[in-house]
Amino acid sequence: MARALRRFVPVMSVFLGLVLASGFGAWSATLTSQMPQAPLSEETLDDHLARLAEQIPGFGGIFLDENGQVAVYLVKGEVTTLSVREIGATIARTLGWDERRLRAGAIRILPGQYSFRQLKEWNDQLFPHIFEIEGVTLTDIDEARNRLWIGVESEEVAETVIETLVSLGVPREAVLVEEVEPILPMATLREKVRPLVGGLQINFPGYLCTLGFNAVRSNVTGWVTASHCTNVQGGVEGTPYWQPLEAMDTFIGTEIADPLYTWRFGCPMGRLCRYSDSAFVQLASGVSASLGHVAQTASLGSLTITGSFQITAEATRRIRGEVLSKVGRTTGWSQGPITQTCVNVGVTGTRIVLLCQDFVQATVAAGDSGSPVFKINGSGVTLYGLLWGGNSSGTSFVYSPIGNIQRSDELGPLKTCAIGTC
Amino acid sequence: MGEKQELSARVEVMKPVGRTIRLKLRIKNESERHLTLLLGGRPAYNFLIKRPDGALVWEWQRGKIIQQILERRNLEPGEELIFEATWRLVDARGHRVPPGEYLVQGVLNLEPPEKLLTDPLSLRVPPPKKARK
Repeated sequence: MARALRRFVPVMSVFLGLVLASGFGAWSATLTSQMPQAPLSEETLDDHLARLAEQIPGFGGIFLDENGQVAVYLVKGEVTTLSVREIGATIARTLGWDERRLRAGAIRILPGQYSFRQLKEWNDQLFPHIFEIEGVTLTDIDEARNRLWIGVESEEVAETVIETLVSLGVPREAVLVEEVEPILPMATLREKVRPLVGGLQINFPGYLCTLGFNAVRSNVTGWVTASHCTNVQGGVEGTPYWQPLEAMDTFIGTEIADPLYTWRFGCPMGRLCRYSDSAFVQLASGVSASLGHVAQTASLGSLTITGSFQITAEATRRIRGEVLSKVGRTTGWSQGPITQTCVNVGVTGTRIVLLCQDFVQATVAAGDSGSPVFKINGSGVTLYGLLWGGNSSGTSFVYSPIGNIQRSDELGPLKTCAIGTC
Repeated sequence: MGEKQELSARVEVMKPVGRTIRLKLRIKNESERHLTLLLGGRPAYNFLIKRPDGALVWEWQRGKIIQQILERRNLEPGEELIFEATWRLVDARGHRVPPGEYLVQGVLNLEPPEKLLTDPLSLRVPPPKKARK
C-alpha cells in the first residue's frame, strides 16, 4: 500500500498500529482506540471492511484523508437509510473503534464507483490467477481510491495482467495496474537474501566477505567478489561459497576464474601484479540472482535492506572528487569522494602489487572486501568497481576499477547491468 | 564477543638490535573450551608505540593497506596466536625518536568494532652509541 500510504492512511492502520507499534503513532495519538488489549482476530482487514459493507449499503471504503478526517466512500445511486451519524456509529461498533468524532458523525462522504463487497469479490476472484504471472508484486483493495490495485514490475507485466483481468470478466476501469518497486524483505546484509544482490555477506571456508555484483561472463551466470576472498588469492581452487553462512540450503556458487598474479610489464621487479583484486564465481543451480541489482540500505551506515540500487551503466572514466558509494556487510552503505586515481598499491604482507587502483575517502572495515563501488546517477547507479582494501583507521578504501576487472588478462568482458537498461 | 574474557593478550619486546626492536603479540586461549575468533582484516594485528603521556608516536599499520576480510580462527584450549613486527625506532613521519621511555601496546582487531588490546608495556630506547674515533 506504499503509494496509497503516501497520501492516505487507511483507518484500520490506526488500530493495527496500536498493536504493531508501527509508524502510525501520530495518528493513534489523536484517534485513540478503546480496544488496545483486544487480541487480533484471524479475520483480515478486508474481512472487517466487508462486514461493515453488509451493514452500510453502498459502502466503498474508508480511510483518513490528508487532513486526518475520516472519509467514507458511498456508491453513487445506492439507497441508504442511514444518516451520517448512524454510519459513524456503525463503523465505530463494527470495527470496535470507539471514537467520539465517529459517533458524532464527523465523516466526509465521498461518491464512490464500486462497493467494497464488489471490489472484494473481484479481488478474491483475481488473486489466485494474478500471482501466477511472473512480475506481479502486490494486489490490494485500495480503500482510498475505491479501486483494486495491482502492482507490477514492468509495463510488459502490466499488459499481461490487464489481459487476464479482462478474460476473467473484471471491468478494466475498476483496477489500477501500476509499476511499483520490487518488495524486498526487511533483512540485513548479513541475513539470507534471495535473489542474490550485490552487497550481501558471503562465507567461504574460514572467512567472511561481501558479494560484489552479479554478472554474466562468457554466457556463464555468476557474480564477482575479491580475489583474496577465495581459498588462495590468484589461481582457481573451486572455492565454495554460502550466503550468509554455511548451511544446508545456503550454497550459492563455486569460484571459476581468478587469474594468477604474475610479473608483467609495469610490475616492480620481484613483485607479482594484477590490475584487479577480483574473481568470478559461477552461480549454483537453483539459486536466484538479480542481475544489475545492489542492496540499498535504509541510510548511510545502515545494514537494513530497504530496496535495491539498479546498475544502469559502467564507469568509463574516473575523476578525483567524484562521490562514490559502496555497500558492504560490515559498514553497510558508505559514501565519499575519490581522493586518488590510478595508484599502484602494495598489499601488506604479500609480494602483490595491484596496478592502477583508486582510493575513496569513506568508511570501511573488515568484512567489506568484495563490496560493489558505484556512483548514484538519478534513478540508477553507475558501477565503478570492487572494494578490496582500506586503511587501518577505516576512513579510506581502495577499489579495483571496473575497466581493470574487464581487461582481457583479468576476468574479461562481463555483463553487469540490469536487463534492458544498458 | 564473550570469548574476549577467556583470552589473554600480552606484548613482548625483544632486545634492541642496532636501530630495530622486535615486538611480539601473544593471544592465548586461557579457557578449557574451544574458542572461535573473528579476526578483522589481513593482517589483523597492530602495534602502537606511545609516549608515557599517551601520545601516539608510531603505529605499525599506519600507511598500510589492509585487505578487508574477516577470518574465523579456531583456538583450542591453551593454544596461542603469535604476531610479530619490527619497530625501527622512528615516529610516524619516519624520524628517529629521542632516547627515553615509551609504551608499547599490541592490538588484535576482531569483528569491527571489537579489538583486543594488551596492557601497555614500558620500553626504553637507549641513547645512540658514540662512534669510536
